[in-house]
Amino acid sequence: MSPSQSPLPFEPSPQPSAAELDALLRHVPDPEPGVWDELREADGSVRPRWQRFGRWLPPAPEGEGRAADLDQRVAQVAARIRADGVTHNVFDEQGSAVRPWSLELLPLIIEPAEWAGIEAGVVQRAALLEAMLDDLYGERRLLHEGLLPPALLLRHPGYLRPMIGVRPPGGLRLHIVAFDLARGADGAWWVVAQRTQGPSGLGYVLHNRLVVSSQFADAFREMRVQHIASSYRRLLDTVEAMAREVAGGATPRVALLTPGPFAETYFEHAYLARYLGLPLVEGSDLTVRDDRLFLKTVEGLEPVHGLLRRLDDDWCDPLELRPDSALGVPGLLQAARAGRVVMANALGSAFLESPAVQGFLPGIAERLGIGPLGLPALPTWWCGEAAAWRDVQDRLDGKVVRSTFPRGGRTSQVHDRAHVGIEQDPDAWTIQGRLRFSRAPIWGGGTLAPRPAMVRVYAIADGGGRWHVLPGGMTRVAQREDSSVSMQRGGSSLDTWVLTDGPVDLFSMLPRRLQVDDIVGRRRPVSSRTGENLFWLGRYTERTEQLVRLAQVTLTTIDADSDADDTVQRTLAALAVRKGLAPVGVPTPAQSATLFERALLAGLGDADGALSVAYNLRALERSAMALRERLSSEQWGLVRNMTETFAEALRSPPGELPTLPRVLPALDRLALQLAALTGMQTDRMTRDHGWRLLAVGRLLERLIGLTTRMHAFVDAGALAGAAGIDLLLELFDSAITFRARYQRHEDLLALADLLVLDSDNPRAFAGVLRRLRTELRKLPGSASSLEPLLARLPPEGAGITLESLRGAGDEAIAGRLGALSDALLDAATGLADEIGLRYFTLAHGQDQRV
Amino acid sequence: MTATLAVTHETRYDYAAPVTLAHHLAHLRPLDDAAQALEHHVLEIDPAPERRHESRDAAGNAQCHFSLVRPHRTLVVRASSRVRVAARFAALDAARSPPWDALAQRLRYVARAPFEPAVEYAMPSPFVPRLQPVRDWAAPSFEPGRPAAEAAMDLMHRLHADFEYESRSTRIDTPLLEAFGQRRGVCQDFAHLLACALRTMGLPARYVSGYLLTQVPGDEGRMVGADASHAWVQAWCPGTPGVPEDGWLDLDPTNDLVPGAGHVRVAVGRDFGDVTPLRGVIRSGGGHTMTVAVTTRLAGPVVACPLEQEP
Repeated sequence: MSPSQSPLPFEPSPQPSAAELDALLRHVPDPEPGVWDELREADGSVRPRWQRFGRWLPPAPEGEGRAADLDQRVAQVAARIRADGVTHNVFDEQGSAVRPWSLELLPLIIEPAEWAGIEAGVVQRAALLEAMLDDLYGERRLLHEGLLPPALLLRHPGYLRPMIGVRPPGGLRLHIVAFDLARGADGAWWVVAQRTQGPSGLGYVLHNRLVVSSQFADAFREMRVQHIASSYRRLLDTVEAMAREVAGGATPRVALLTPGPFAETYFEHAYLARYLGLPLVEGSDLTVRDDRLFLKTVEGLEPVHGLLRRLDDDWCDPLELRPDSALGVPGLLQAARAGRVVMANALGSAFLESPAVQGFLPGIAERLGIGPLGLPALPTWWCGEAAAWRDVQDRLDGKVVRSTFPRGGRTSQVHDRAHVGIEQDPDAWTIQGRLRFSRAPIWGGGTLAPRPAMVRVYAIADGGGRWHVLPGGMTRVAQREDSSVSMQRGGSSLDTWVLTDGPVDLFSMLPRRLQVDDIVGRRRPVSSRTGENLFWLGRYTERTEQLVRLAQVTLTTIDADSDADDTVQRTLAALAVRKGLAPVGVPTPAQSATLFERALLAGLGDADGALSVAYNLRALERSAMALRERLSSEQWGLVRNMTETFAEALRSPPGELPTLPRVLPALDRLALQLAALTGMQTDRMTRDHGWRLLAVGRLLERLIGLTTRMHAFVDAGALAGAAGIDLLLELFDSAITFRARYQRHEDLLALADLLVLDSDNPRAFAGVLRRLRTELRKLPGSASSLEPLLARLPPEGAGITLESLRGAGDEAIAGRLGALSDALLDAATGLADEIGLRYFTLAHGQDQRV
Repeated sequence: MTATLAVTHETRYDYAAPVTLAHHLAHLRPLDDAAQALEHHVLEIDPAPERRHESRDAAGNAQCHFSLVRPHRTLVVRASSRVRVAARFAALDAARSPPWDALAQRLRYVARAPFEPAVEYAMPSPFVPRLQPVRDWAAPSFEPGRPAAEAAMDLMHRLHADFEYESRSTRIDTPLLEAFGQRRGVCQDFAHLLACALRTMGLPARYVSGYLLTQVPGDEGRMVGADASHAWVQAWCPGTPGVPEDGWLDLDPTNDLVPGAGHVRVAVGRDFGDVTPLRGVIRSGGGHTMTVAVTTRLAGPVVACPLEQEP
């Protein structure tokens, strides 16, 4: 292998030696005949792009071989993906599962000249598809002139009759189109498939780029890899430009519509929404009134002018499309017909995804004046055309039989026993030539390996009739040499490096100078559902924290040889039952401390049967899951880690319970993690309406928890002795302050002062109430409309004064504390209900078909 | 012969909990064309919707979108129509219909051949999938070269003979194959099955939603399907003597007859899903009940001359 000439005169001398590269290649199988090898020329020498890449590899650390370094980088990539929570949902026989995203270390590299060909071909095809939609939802000349078989349009469930004759606002139907390309044996690129309904991958493309470019920063820069950020900006600009008409010239509000957390690519919906600064919405967050689309927010209905959607057509409107869809928005079609919302992409393009359409595109392109297509598609025979079927029926070997119309999922079927089925219903079948995809190198386990690769590229409309191709894409490789390329079937992804001879576009999503209107328009609305999830995230975080504390105190106190008196033990046990730590009907500690403890231990890790810690952790995780696009990846990571490590710590062999020596440290760790989570929620989130609701949720839950505990202790007469006072102080997390302030005067007046009256103690009633009043005043709504919320609480302090306790005996003080706890508990639960009614009702109720 | 018919079609929804938002789509306005004159039509909705929008769907049927945003616990939708209907097929000569196989062949795609719009109705549709067992059942009626209208009518006779009408024996989401298997169904099933059979043979068939006069003067038997909205089929037999120029021949498989002046056409489509009389999506916390009442009666004299020849 000879080193190639560097195209850049200032390129310094190569770092890794040619010998080193040779060593890396030693174990790679020879290129397969009849297949294009991305890494090597036919003679086995490394292609120039890979030689350059090799020269810019970061120096391997002293004393370590290149292979070990690359292995380490593979591990770093995987760790980064775990840390960022990059996932996809896989559906198989076992149901669905969340899997970590799979990304290879090495990129796929495309040279400038090759890319120019791809770009031109893709632009041409995107324009063709747009023109076809215009015609087929308008005059239908293509049908009348026999250029497109009627069945491909009229039998396809994706041709939406309600949209016939509808011109979308701005006139643009396709904002983005994706093409799956693969390279044949001669190195030429072929179109394998096209995706017009909300193509997936843009979010993963972005994250893949961040991860891989940081592994090979020198190569990335020196090889002049094109940046991709401006393509995302363009997509957003286009949707907004079209939506401006709907918004009456004002800054439009655009949202990203997702099917929800169970969608295969939900991660990237949340990721893209965050990157593009769009609210991530589900169908149930939206409503159509008066033919207009609105987002249900905690401040009422807010208009939405455009939807960048990842929800397939069928599911978009249960009134006129799939009636069983709970993911869509009833009336959305009517709003779209009325020109009151921009759908990106417009509804009704799914029929273009049929493999059968490919065969007719050359003729249509010619008719529409687009000219011969530069990028060929796989040879395609639609069996519904008798001549085509006759032509191909005796030579099906080496070809693929696909379903013309979608069945179930979106993947076209491959079918072996072809003839009979085809003769029965020829329209339903399409034959395509089989392409042996080129082999891209992947690194793993100390060696390079070739894998079949397919690249998804994206064409983005600029709204002025022109198309731009994102210089990069989503490359996927098959898991094994002989399997198909699919992320669902264990495939993996590659970053896609498109090199340029010109300057690199250094645009970043961030710097564009915003106008005042943009900023006003961009303040992110808080949907009712998001508001409710935040409210509950606050409540569950606090509830779990209090529950952990109660479990810790109970487990260390209730013990066969505890010196705590019976009253205290009984009080704790009753609280534990009331709060779900132990089941109703469990023997009291006095009857059997062992049985009580066993019941408590059994409940802790039970996420289904009991209402204990694991159960609340799961509820917390669910609220957080639904808030992915609002939570930092650290916060989300912490939530998941917390649940996992706690479950792991409590895992025991079947029939056995976790032991106390294992449980107590697990609870301690969980308490710390919860404190960290609370810290992130308090300190690291923007204080918008959503955050206020989270804070109010937390404070209400705290008030509910603390008043219940106080009440239980008063009620049982447990505050008569020092042990009871100590334990209550523990439950209020105020023991240290108490000792510092009152030394060992364990009397009720001091207790009342610290746990009730002290507005500086974040866990005293007065302290919680003070903050609650502050946050309530900042909730959405006018000051006068918020008055009824505040009126439920004492106007200041905790509702009683130190002065009013002057001269009262212990019993009287306890009585006052009990009554106050009761009143505040009522106020807190009432307030929680009223907040629900006021801010979340829009999110409630279910769509029903009648 | 023409008859003037008055139809009221009332749908009442009762909701267990208040409905805070409702979107509805109605196909309740009868067709108004050469063979059927819509003399009067009113669609009353109570409570009154905040928005109401009349338009035509892709097949040319009248449709009405309406939505309610004020909470309501009942909704009554009443369509009242007076229609003068002409018997259209009195001069039908099914034996002189073109051969069915020639028609089917005409609809096969050949590159650059002109488009025949009826082909849309020869394809499977959401409620009428392509079912091989139905084709096998239909095949005996289709000897090569047999006149299309004759074959279609033979199929209608066989369907009526082999299948039993039984109200509430299926629901609207019962798959067609299941209705076929149990040899029992309601008028939608009869219509869907006949359409399915014709389509599997390559012939276009449309689903017709409409009303039926219980007692046609001069006919003693009470017909089935009169107390609710009715459904039947149109088979495509262009060039058949006695069939209008557009080629569509109405066939009512539930009653085994070619409709006359007692059938009011409301809408035509590929299947029930295209022309559902009234549907909606509501937002509510509770359940609902729906009651439908249809009355069809003679509202004027039956006259012996066709519609277009009346004074």
